[in-house]
Amino acid sequence: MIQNYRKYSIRFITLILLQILVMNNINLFGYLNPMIYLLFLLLFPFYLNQTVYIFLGFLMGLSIDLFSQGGGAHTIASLTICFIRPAIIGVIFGFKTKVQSLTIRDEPRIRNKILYVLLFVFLHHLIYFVSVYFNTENTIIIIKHTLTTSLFSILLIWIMMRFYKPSK
Amino acid sequence: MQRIISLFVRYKNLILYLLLLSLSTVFLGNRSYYHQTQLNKISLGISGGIYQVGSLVTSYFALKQKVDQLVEENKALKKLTLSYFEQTFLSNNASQSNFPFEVKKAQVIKNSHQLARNYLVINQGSNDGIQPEMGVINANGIVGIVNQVTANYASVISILNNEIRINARFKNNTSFGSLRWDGTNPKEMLLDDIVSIYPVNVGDTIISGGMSAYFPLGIPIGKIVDVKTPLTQGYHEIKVSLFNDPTQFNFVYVIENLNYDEIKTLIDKEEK
Repeated sequence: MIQNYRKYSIRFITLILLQILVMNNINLFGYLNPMIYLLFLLLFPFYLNQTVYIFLGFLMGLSIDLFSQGGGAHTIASLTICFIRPAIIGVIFGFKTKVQSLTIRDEPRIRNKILYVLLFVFLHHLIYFVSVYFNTENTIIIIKHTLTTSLFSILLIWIMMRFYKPSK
Repeated sequence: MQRIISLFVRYKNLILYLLLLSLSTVFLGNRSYYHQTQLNKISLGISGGIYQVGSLVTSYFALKQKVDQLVEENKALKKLTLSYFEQTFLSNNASQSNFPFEVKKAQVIKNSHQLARNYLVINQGSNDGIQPEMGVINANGIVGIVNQVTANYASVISILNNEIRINARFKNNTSFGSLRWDGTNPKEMLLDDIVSIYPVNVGDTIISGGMSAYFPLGIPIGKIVDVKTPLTQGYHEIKVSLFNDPTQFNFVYVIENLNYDEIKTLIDKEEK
């Protein structure tokens, strides 16, 4: 258990550092910054305490916002995505069934795995860009940024998920 | 009690979520001016409706007073039109087409004067042609500048706001300065940037300077009540008593500068 805590803390800090030092400086096509820190929230075990999970999501977003001089959009997006994760899991795995695997990486069915990452990242980016632009006049920009950034983020997250050793 | 606690435990995630969400929204509003204005716009739309109802009730009891006020105002306006007619008639150059300001009427439905940054809400919005950054005056002087606009309401930064500066000059000579409020007495303002080589007397009249895109030249603002001239600085410290009573704003006029966009693009180009 202690080892788990250590693992999560290290992952938390590494991802924040990676996000603010590397990812926020990519600026592909002038605006595209993939959000790699979502990996922490994605890989969080399915059936650990939901309250702790929401709080961790808040903390994650807040740290990114504070370090990257953001307004608070990261906080709102990651907090909300943590809150609605049970619904996402329900949609993908079925509301009645209890998921057998510990985290998404151990999920044997590739279809569920892809759908989960896709939906999670896409929804997070949508909430993020909606709260950044916060105006109905910018709908097209919101959709464009959400789609392109999601694609980029999902690609990177998928690659990074391969780096981790499977947990026992 | 048991039930309340069990209810709380059951919905603890929802409660935690809403709590943290409101916290981050406040955070967002504080960090970014853009979001602050967007959030204010939403709350203005809601509170405008509430203030309108309250104003409907209270304005009924003040009808008599208002009629008197309107008569006075009409009298002053009549005098103004007459003098204007006389002027154009005598000078014989039809300068009417050169006067680029249009006047719209509005009623104040919410006013404050006890804060450091006061604002008003008026019952005219974008549907009535009100746009941000229009000047607002009333019969006795300047009221403020339009800040945000919704469909039916607009918020106005009052002159009683320590972030606003109004271009002002003397009626009898052309030296000009900027008028600001120090946040204490709602009937007194300070006039800055008047170089101390100009003679300044108590009792001089201050009018709007016409050097901003918001107000035309010559709107009466107030009288000088106190002048101090520190020896070490090159400027007077001037205290101006307003003709207006900012605690009693009711009927106001929004003035639209028809050349505003033109002036604005010019200013933007200069500042680049």
